[in-house]
Amino acid sequence: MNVELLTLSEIVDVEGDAGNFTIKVKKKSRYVDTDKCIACGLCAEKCPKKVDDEFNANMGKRKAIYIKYGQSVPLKYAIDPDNCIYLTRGKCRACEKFCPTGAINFDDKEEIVSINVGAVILAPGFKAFDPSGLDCYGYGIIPDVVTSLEYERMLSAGGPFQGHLVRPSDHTEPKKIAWLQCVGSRNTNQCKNGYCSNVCCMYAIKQAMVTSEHLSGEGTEQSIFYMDIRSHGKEFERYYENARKGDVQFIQARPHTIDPGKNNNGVIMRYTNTEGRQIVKEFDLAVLSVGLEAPEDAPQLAEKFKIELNHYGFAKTKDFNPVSTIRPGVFVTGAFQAPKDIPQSVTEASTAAAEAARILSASRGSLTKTKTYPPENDVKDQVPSIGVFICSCGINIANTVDVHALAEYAKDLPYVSFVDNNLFTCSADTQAIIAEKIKEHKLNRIVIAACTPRTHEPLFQDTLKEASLNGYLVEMVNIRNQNSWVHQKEPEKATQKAKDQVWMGVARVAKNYPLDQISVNVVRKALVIGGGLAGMNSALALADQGYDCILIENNDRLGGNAWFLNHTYKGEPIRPMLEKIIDKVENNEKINVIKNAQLLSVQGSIGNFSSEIQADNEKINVNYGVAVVATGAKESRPAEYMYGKDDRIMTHLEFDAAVRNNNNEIKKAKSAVFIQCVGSRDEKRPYCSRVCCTHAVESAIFLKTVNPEMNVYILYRDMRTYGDREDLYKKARDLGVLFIRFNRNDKPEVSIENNEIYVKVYEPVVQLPVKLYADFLILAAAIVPNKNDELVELYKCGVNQDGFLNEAHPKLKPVDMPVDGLFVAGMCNYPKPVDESIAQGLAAASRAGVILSRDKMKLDAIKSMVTDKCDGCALCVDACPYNAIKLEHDSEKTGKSYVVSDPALCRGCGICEATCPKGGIIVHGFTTEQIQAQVDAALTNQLIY
Amino acid sequence: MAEILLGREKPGIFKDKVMELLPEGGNLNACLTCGACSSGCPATGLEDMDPKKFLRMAALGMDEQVTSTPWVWMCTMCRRCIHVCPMEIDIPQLVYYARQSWPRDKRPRGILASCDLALKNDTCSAMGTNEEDFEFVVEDVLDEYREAQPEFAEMKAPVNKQGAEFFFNQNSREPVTEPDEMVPLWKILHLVGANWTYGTKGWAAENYCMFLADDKAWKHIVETKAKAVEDLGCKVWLNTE
Amino acid sequence: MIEIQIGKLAEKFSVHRNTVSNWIKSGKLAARPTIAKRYLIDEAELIRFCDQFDIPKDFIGEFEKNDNHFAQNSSVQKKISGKNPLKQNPFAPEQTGVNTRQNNNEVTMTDKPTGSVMVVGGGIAGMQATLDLAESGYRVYMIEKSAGIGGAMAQLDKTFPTNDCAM
Repeated sequence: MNVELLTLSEIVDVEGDAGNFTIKVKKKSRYVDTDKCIACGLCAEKCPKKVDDEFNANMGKRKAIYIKYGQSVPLKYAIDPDNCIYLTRGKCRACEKFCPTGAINFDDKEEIVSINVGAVILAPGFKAFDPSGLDCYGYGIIPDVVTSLEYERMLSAGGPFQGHLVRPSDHTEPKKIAWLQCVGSRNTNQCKNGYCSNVCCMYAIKQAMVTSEHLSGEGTEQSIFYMDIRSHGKEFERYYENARKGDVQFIQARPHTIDPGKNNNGVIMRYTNTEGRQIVKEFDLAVLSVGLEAPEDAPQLAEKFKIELNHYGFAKTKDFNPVSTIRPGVFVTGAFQAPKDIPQSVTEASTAAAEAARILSASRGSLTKTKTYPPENDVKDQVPSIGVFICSCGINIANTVDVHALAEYAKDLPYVSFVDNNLFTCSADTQAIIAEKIKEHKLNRIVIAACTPRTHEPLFQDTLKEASLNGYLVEMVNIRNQNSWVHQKEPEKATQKAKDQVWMGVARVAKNYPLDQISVNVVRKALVIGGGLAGMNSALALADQGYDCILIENNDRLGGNAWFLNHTYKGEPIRPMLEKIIDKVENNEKINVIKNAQLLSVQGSIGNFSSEIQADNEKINVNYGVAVVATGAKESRPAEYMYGKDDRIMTHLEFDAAVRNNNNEIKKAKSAVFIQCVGSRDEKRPYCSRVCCTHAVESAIFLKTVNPEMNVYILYRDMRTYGDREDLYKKARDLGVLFIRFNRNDKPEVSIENNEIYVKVYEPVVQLPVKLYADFLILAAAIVPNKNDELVELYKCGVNQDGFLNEAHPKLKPVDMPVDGLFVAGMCNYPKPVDESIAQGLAAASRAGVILSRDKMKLDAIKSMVTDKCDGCALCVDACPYNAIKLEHDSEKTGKSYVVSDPALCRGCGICEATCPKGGIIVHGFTTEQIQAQVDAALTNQLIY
Repeated sequence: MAEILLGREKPGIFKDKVMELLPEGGNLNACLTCGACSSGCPATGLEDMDPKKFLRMAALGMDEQVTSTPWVWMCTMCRRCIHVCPMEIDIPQLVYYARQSWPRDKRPRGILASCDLALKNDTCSAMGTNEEDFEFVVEDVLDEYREAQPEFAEMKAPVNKQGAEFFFNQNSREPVTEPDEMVPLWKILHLVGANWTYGTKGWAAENYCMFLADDKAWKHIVETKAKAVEDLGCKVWLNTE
Repeated sequence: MIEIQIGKLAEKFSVHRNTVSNWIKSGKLAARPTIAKRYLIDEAELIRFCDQFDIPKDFIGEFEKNDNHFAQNSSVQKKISGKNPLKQNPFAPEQTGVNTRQNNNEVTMTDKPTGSVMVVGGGIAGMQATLDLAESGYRVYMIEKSAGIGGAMAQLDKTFPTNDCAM
């Protein structure tokens, strides 16, 4: 309710400064009254004008009146004024005739509104590269050449082929599909995009893997033609390795031209394999992995907001301020800041929120509202009076299930006082009807026969609360996903099943009783564990939001790995910035820094943690509501390439140190060799350390700059200079750095002869062994997480197979940890460079800020409760996946043992209830009686009480 | 072959020298070894060579192999490689300079001989045909066809017609070995009523000296042809090769 | 100034809402648009209008008075009749008063900043930023140029490594 969504809107004008912007926004006409539209779809059915559907990448048609896609928010139709027959030529108006609620409004005029805000976040996204201009690929001419975005739509159940994968030319199932990588990226000849789009390698692998699910039968083959495979994200290398082991062929080659296949079906491509042989291959379909460009309106937005764009048209930012622009109060995030994937976008969105929050914290809460509800009616002693609302869901349910027959049937069920059938039970007007009927018929239980609770249960609970009923007195019966969606071919049986489902729902809801949501106090303080760049930035952002922070650091100084690095990839010197940040942290009144610290214990849960911290010889007790874990990672010691046998063989950090110490030996060297992936991407550590390719090219450029005569070689497996780091790779090559590829099974060999270091490697292009003098050998040692097993044990959080701390969801919750109230930032989560560590640290502050922004927080009421039947057998204790149950012993009074469950930790999964043989622990809302009533209704025809 | 030893004095400087001659170094250092060039090259695989390998050898300083592989003479200069190269690397120019590094007398006999013959006369004919002979053959064949095919009695094959709009060049071989093959073109030009001419100077269409990578000779051939066109005052030079 | 909703006013005048729209558009009824499809009308103007159409004016008191210029600090004051007034604002920072702090934007506030943020773009990044801010106590205006939010992610079939559906 604190979000106002203005769709079909554009920025017109911007004035003001941080804290006080006045922005004019043009709201274009929708021509549909959103208060009246119930998205029934009749208008679109009757509309005669077909238009290319942009959502389906122009592969299908929509109508001039349309919704973007079936799950659009807002789920309201809109008329496309460029194509509507009435708006362009004054004829038709069919939609208006057929709309059941009179929602069409051709008089809708566009409006310009003025909005006053304190900060702005620009997240306009990206534009997919259009390969139409590339003559060699035949896109737009050869039917079976598609872009990756079109392919997504082809795979999608909501797409033009409803998820049946067929090729455009003759609609047959393709068996052999080829992906061409780097179309519109890493290319300054056929386009101007010298950068890497960061996501295409992974999306191509995903598409190839998902394709094998769609295709049936023998002879299916997916081939990916690539230059480098960039799987540098968390768990991505494993995914890539799995794909390699599976059906996906990875071919390190680029075809020159795509020619049409026989009869213009399929394609023919010619490529040269790694041995120099030309191979001609036919494929049924070719997918161009197109890159991400800056969004079309980037220049206009930049101009209106007076921010800068970089040479590729994306927003210009700094590594130490990854979402800030030159205009205070205006932040940029998502793909507009740089091409990036979903986890990174979601993280950096929170980063931008943190930056906005820190400048507006003085006004936090000034313009927001919390909802209040009327007092609840007490239904404890009442006989159940059940209202059943059956949803037609437009035609989604009603086309298969006979909703009228269902309604008639429901009328006769025990305790049912009222039955209604609605077109869309979730629409705003139906909520009003439900509330009205509750009052009118004195209903005290509600059954909604409709879709899945995951869509609208909170909405219905809210409707009940507004009608003075406890929210847990409503039950949803899923006659959509579990009925009409899967039984379309058998409507009679579907209707019978729906009757049974409603019967079960009614029997169950009669057993529902009011539940209270527990409110816990929030200690509005944060604990930040780890004083590196991530942790420090997190603490500063939290402090700027007004919250006290305790920052604990293991070492005797703040700064972590940043002390050992010289520059960021954008060339920003790290030391001066680091010292500035440390200074800010140490002088910030709201941040209490504890060095030489060790976390000894953790108690409590979200909103209310307490811990004992050991610092020097003291023990300190602290209380906090949230914790940010930023314990970092470190460079490993290589176990190969003769590391340790000679001072001239060093790791990247050792190299940076040598440069800092003005080591002249290095500058005078005649040759330097870098070897990548030392200890990463192997059996022991099947992950990519993400930063080393970039650091290697930075170092190589440095060497070539101080000594252009030096021979510099980089031996690599895949160059992973993602995003505009690709510019550094190009620069290194232009300066004469020679890059030699090796593969995992044929690693370089290091030898020392007559005090000279040599590196032998097989050069794959000329297919000859090469022996390199290496006056200095720099190894890209794998990054490994800092010791975190004690922390993991204390907080009961988890690590992945490689020891990095887990996030709650790799895509949608990349900063939250699976333990409520904990957030992760920096390299302890996964290796990353300075800008990403800072971004994640700030993001954690935003996420933590959501919890700290309130005095109290409500927990869901579906929690376990121990009954007096518990005899302390403790079987449930180990069964609980959330460690919410503890065994206690009342030695004073009864001498009995019993369990206690912590509602803050309990997730209501029900495993305890299922495990307990005595009914000693139940889960509210899912008691044995409630479930039994459902089962009995399913099996018999009588209501058993 | 023994391993390549790198890291001290440069084993080869051929690539560097070429880079000095090309604008922006021809981007010769920018190769990603992606292989797009080789995938489209008609000469890939010949002499166990392709554009990617060729450039790579140059980058590794394998000058001896680069300047001695016969592959450079199998390249047709079609430029398919640079067309798709993500870095727009000028491989054709690298090939050209490799050709040029061959001692002149060691270059392929056919191309060498044709260039030398072309230099003999202002005709630029790669078969050494002189001006008189060319004019004679044209007139002779024209008369023959005018007589044999009455519908083409008025057909012309002008030579050195001052002020004609189009200057047509002619393949060197045809006047000598297959003179009848010249006629279809005349018939078309006659039927459309084009105002055209041959020139006795600069009429030969090829430039074997360019293929030979002999810059001076190439320039001379081009200048001879250009002068011939200008001297006749023609507006359009039409290249039939 | 009185803040009206077209539908409600139409009810009072017993006309169709489109009629009221047309009055405003044609200038018959002088009103200025504000956010959320509401309009600001000068009280005197409304009284005049009622007189002109012979409508009893007693309903005018039911509408909200909004004396802030709409360009400043517009917030939607929803009238919840008969409900409890807003309780103590749980979002309020512990300290009142103003923080003057140096961050990289070097913003020094002496006046209280507006407690709202505009997010331009309704894709996954815009949505996440909006949610974070709204849940932390800031009003958010999300501006999306197309008819619905979701951005490019909604067009993806599946995401990885979990192969979840993108929706």
